[in-house]
Amino acid sequence: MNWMMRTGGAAPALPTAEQAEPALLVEALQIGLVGARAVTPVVTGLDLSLARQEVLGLVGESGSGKSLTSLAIARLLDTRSVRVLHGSVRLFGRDLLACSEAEMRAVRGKDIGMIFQDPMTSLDPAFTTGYQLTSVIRRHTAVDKQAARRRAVELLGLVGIGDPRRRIDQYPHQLSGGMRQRVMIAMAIACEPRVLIADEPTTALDATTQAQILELIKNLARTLRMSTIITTHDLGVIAEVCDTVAVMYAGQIVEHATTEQIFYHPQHPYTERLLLSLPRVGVEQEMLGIPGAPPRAGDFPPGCRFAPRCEYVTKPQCVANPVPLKQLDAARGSRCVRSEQLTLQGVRT
Amino acid sequence: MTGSTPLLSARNIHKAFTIRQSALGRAREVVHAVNDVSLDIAPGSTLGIVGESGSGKSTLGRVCLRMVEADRGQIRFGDADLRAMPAGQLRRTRSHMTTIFQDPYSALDPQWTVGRIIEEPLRINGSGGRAERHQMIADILPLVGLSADAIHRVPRSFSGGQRQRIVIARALVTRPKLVFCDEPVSALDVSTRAQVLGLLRELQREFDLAYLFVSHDLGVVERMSDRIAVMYLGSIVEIGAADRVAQGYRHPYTAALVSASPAPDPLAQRARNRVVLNGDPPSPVDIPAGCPFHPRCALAIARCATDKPELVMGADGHGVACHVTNADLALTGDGLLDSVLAGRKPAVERTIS
Amino acid sequence: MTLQEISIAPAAGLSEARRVGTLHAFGRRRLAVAAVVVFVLIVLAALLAPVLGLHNPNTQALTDRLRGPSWNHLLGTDELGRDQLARILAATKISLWASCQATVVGVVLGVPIGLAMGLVGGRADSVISRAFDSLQSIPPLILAIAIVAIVGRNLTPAMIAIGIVFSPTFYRVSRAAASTIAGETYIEASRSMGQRTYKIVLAHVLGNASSALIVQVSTTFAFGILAEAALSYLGLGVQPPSASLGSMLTSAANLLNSSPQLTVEPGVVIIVLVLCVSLVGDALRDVSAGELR
Repeated sequence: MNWMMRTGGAAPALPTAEQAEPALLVEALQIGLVGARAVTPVVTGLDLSLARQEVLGLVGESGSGKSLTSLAIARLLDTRSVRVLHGSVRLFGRDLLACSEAEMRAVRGKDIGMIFQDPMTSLDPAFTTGYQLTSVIRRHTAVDKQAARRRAVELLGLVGIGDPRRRIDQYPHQLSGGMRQRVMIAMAIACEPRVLIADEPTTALDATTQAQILELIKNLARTLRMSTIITTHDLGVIAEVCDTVAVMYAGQIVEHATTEQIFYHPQHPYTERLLLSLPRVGVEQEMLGIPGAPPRAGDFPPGCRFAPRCEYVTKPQCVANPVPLKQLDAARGSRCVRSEQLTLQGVRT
Repeated sequence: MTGSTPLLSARNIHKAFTIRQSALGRAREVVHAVNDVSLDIAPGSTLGIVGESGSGKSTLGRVCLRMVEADRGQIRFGDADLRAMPAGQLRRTRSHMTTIFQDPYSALDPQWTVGRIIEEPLRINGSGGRAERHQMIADILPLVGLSADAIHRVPRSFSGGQRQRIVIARALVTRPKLVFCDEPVSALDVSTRAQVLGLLRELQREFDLAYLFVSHDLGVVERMSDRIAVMYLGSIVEIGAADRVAQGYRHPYTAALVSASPAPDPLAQRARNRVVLNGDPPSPVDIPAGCPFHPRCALAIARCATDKPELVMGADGHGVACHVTNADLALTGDGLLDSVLAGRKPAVERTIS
Repeated sequence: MTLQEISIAPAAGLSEARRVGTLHAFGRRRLAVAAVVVFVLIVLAALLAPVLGLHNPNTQALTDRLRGPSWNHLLGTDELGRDQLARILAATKISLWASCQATVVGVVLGVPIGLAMGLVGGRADSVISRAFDSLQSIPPLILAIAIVAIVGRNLTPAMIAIGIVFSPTFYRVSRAAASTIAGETYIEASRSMGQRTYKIVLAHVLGNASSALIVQVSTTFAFGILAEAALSYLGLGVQPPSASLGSMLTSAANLLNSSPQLTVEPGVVIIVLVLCVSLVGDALRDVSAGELR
């Protein structure tokens, strides 16, 4: 079929009985940048909970720490420049930060699948796609070469690559950007991981290819019943794919809620301003921005990190002390001291 | 269109690049970046060009400003024939058509101070003495939202959004009439984007600037443009007033592009009827015969594989290059979208290689 | 922001002048600073030798031959009774000057054309690159010997020959630097304003290529000292009674068993000079790499 089409449908149901152990539980995560003389904390006090089969979006602009967080979960940080200082990351109860590197190598690919941002540089140009795929398969499952190859062909078909038997012997440079991203997705899901981490999976892609890849990720997450974290700066991606959202700013989560709550009833001024900055095709709307720039690591203000740019700032409550993440109800939280007083504007008014 | 003379007028532009040559110098792989494109830009208005990678939009912009030489075609800037202009006159004309580039981290010489960077176009054109140049620089800094002390600082100490403001200052210090904006906000954060776009609009009003605004982001292009041209594989497939193209589109590719523009509104997004194209965008090395879009088009008929459709302009200034929709003028906007979704299989199956 | 940007941002701080940043980073490398100090001391000693009240380097005293170090002759005397210390200082001056000549020739021949070709590319680039490649394929000393045979046996022609031999490396380094810079958007911006190519080279390319070039200059200077020593060892460079460090090695070679200090002394000076210059070059390279962006 030459066209894929999608018409309206209800949002996928979240698993009930939240007493079930979360797939991923991050607590008090602190990540620091290794400088010449000292280590500067950038991500601080990060708590994250990913339920089974939930698709969580981690949204933030440059410098917010979202990529660092997702890499930290898979313990893929380059420890020469960035380090986890504190905290725990529990994958189905098992603390990944306490694992040895050898144990982590077994976890990556098998329990956690990762998709990176730039498909151009994430695949090894010296090996065929087949080789790279079968390597992943054979590393984690005890199958022979033929079985691995069969599975690889099957995976390529699953991710929507036409003519997989031919593609499997091609090198990355022979594939387009969208196809390379699909190959990466195939590698990520090869061993049917329980958790999928996608770090800006569509940022480097064209608009029409982006739409395809998002469809693919969404469908795979559903059929393979994976819990998924997607980091992105694009709220459109969040609206398309995610059940829940965590908004990051200057190394902290400033708000988390379901997707609809974030878009229609934001509870943090940064979220509000972010929503107002977005142009939408066919909608008359003035695009405001946020004046100024986010603070750099090591330069964080003593109180709320967004206070210098916030139009609702009041002293001294906003600037005196660090602001904790307040649980507003079971599923949402906001790091704004004034969230109860303010009525913030969402996407539909 | 108004009867006034367009500021920039391009006719039948062709541009191809040879990227691989055999030992004997014969061209082996040719990228047909721009194929028979014509456009007009009215003074003080914005023409937006939207397309994905490989569409040729950036090349088209560079050709129109003669930063890259066209293979064929005619370009007029005001009254003058741009392609035939002698070197000296061309250099002087360049102060009237400037460029804002995409990457603010690469567009500024890291060794130069901001003052020297903004001064460069003034020095090249030799207008006025040192004092006069310094005054012009001092005048433009507040207009782009930079403080006066920026003059002595180097680009390294500025953020991406601020660097782009420096790029804008440099582009406007010679008071040009036309500014080519090549993806000016794509490399910036969302919140900074809105600010810079707001600044561009303000400056357009203030100085009566015309913009040739190239971007892959339809939402941004729609916000900034009076007219929009949609490009695919080197040809303009649709052109018209911005709101007409964004909502009352008449080309199947535009329908897909609009569908792919994410709507940051979860319920709207999920309730939307959207077209998702299959396959990957073909490369401009291997442009299909006939309509360049026909292999991925659900409405394609036999004719689409052999005859390249002409861009047929309507009386309202809205033009489309499509055999099917030009034959059935009722196919626009949502109606067109429904037709595409219900569409027949294309008459010619073409495997995307 | 990419990880790299984030990790560099706090270190960059608000330092505005790039020069101050470079000096500061250099200053932190103590070995390099020590190397600079030693080098400067040696140069000063060599330049000031005539006014230091030392013996005349050319005065022979055949009754005083091959003496070891003494209060009168701090480094002893050579086979013709000449004061070794004075000779070494004079020879150092000659060696340094010789290496300067060679380096300057290499830079003048290789850099401007390398920068231009890196920026412009095209067919001229192919032709000229092949020309320099051919030049480089000739074994350096043999080329130098050939040139000297044609032009004459003096130091200056010999060093010009060495400079010609060095030029392909300068060509390649400047071409590579210019090539990278040519891809930067600010070059395209300059062109879009109508700037002429030669001005782009001078105003943009040269400045941004300077760190790569400075490193190459220091490396080449070190090689120049060695090259001159080799040529003079073969008798093709400096002619007696003047001596360079290399020619002193030659004449002392026969006396290695009886008076080893005559070889060791100039040898040590060569080693120290080359070491200092190499350390400085290394440090410059590290510093300029560390401050990209």
